[in-house]
Amino acid sequence: MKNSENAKHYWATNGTYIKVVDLGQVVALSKQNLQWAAKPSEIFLNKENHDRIFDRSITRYPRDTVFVSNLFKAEAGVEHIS
Amino acid sequence: MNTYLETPSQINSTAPVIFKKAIVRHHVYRLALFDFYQDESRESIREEFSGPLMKIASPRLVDEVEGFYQRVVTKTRNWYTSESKNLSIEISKKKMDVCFEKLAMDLGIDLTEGARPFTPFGLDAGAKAKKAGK
Repeated sequence: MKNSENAKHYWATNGTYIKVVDLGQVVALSKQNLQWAAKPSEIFLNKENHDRIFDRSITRYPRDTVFVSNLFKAEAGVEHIS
Repeated sequence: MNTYLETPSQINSTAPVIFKKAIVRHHVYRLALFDFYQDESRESIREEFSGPLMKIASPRLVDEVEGFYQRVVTKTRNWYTSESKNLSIEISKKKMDVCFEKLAMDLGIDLTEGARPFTPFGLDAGAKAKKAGK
């Protein structure tokens, strides 16, 4: 995936209600990479950046993935759930 | 957060301008995230919202998060307004990091060793321990 523009096409993947860009943001936030959380296009800038966020921890910790996604929707408000 | 920023005590202050900055918002989001992982009184929230994935934000969770914002938004606003000389100068990343680290300490949030997502100290580790009867 070359950039976050492409990521938008993976909207709510498999009916999970999680957009790929949003998932990248919450994982970046969880890993305390605030610059990328604030500007998620950086995550999709190149493979190295992408792989630093989308690593095995996402599948290893499914409850964390669900909780942070639910929480982020509540934190960010309508701007992220519209 | 937008709802809270529209309350009478915030709307006519510098808060809407300050929290329009993505980096400031994400500092606060991080504090909220870590607080929701570490605050013992939020055990039932963690349990309830780590199972089903919500299509839209849960009103109950929004209320909980807004309660957290009430503890941090005014402090952040006052600090930022003073440090930026009433928004006339930009604040460096380093100063902002220091400010939010101090705020985390004031709130009892451990940013380095406390419970946090996607680590062995997250919810999955806790769930496994419970299942094993620990």
